[in-house]
Amino acid sequence: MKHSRESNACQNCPSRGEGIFCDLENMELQDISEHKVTNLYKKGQTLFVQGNHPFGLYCISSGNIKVTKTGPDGKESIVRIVTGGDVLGHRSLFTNEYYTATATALEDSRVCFIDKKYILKVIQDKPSVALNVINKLSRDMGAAESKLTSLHQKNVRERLAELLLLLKESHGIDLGGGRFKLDIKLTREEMATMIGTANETLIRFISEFKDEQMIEQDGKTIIISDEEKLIEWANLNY
Amino acid sequence: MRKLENGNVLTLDKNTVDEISSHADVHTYPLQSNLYYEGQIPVVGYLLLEGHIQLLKNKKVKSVLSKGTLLGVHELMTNSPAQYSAQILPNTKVCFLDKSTILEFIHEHDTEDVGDLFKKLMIS
Repeated sequence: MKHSRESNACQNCPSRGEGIFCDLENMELQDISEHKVTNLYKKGQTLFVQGNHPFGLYCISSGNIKVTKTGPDGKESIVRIVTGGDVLGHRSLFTNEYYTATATALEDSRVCFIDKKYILKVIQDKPSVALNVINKLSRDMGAAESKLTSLHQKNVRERLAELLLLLKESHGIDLGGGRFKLDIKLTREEMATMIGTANETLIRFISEFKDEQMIEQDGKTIIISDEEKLIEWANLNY
Repeated sequence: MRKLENGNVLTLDKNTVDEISSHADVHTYPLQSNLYYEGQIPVVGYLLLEGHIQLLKNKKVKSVLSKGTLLGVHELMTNSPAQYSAQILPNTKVCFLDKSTILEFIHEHDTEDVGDLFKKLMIS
C-alpha cells in the first residue's frame, strides 16, 4: 500500500498558513511535497531521541508532540509541546549537535520530514523560509526565557495558572460563555513536569482552582471557566 | 553478493559498503532507539557498518541484521510503508542515506554498479 502523495501534499496540509513553507507558491510547495516523507506517528511513538544524530527537519501537520529532556536520574521534563504548523529538530540541524531532547507523539500525529541537504538548499534559495525559521527560533527563545523567569520568580500556583493560560492560547476551543476546553491530552504527571513541581502538588492546586471555579474537569479534559481570575492568579508581566 | 531478503533488506559486499560509506554521513548510536516503525516510511535509509539492528513485527523480534546490510532505502525512495519496525542496538555504527544523498549518488555514479543499485531500489 502506497501512502497517498496527494493527500499529504503541502497544499492540502491541515496546518496550511501556519508553517515555515506557507509563503511559497504552489509550484514550490509541490517540489517540497515530492521530496518530503510523511508519516503518522501513533501516541507514544518517538520521532527522535535525545543523544542521537539529527538528519533533517520535522514539520508537524497535525497532532501534538511533546519535547522532553531526560535528566541523569532518568526523570523526564517536558520542555515544550509542538502542534500543527510547528517545526522540530531545527536547532540541532543548524548547530550540527546531537538532539538535546526527545520528541514523542502525545496523540496520533501526522508529521513530515525533510532531509538536511534539501532543507538547507530551500533555506538558501527562499528567503521567506529562512525568515519563518528565524521567526520560529525567536519565538522558541522568547518562550524559553519566559519559562526560566517563571521558574525563578513565580510560585507553583502562579505557574499553574500561567500554564493553563498558555494551553488555552495554543489548544483552547471556545465553548461559549467565556469557557474554553483545552484540546490536549496531558497526564497530571506531564503537567507537573511542565511547571517544575511534584505530581501531588499539582493535583492539590488543580483542586484549589476547581474550588475557586476557575476550571472544571470533564473526565481528564480541563475546561477554563474563569479566564480573568486565572490571569490575575498567574501574575502575568508584559 | 547482493541479495534481496524479507523486508526489502539487502546484504552488500565490502567494496559497495566502502564506496557508499565514504560518500555519506557515518554515526554511532549511543542508545537503543527506534529507527522507524512498521507501517511508516523511513525518513532515511541505513547502511549498517558495525553492531546490530533488529527487525520487529508486532513488537516481536523477527530478525537481527548485521554488518553490510542496507535497509529502508527502497521504502524511502518509493514512498512505501515498511513491513517491519527497525530498532538499533546501542553502539551500532550506521551510515545515513537521506533522499538527497541517494539522488546525488545516482546522479554522480550513473554508470557504476552502486548507482545502478540505488536506481533498482527506486523501482516500486
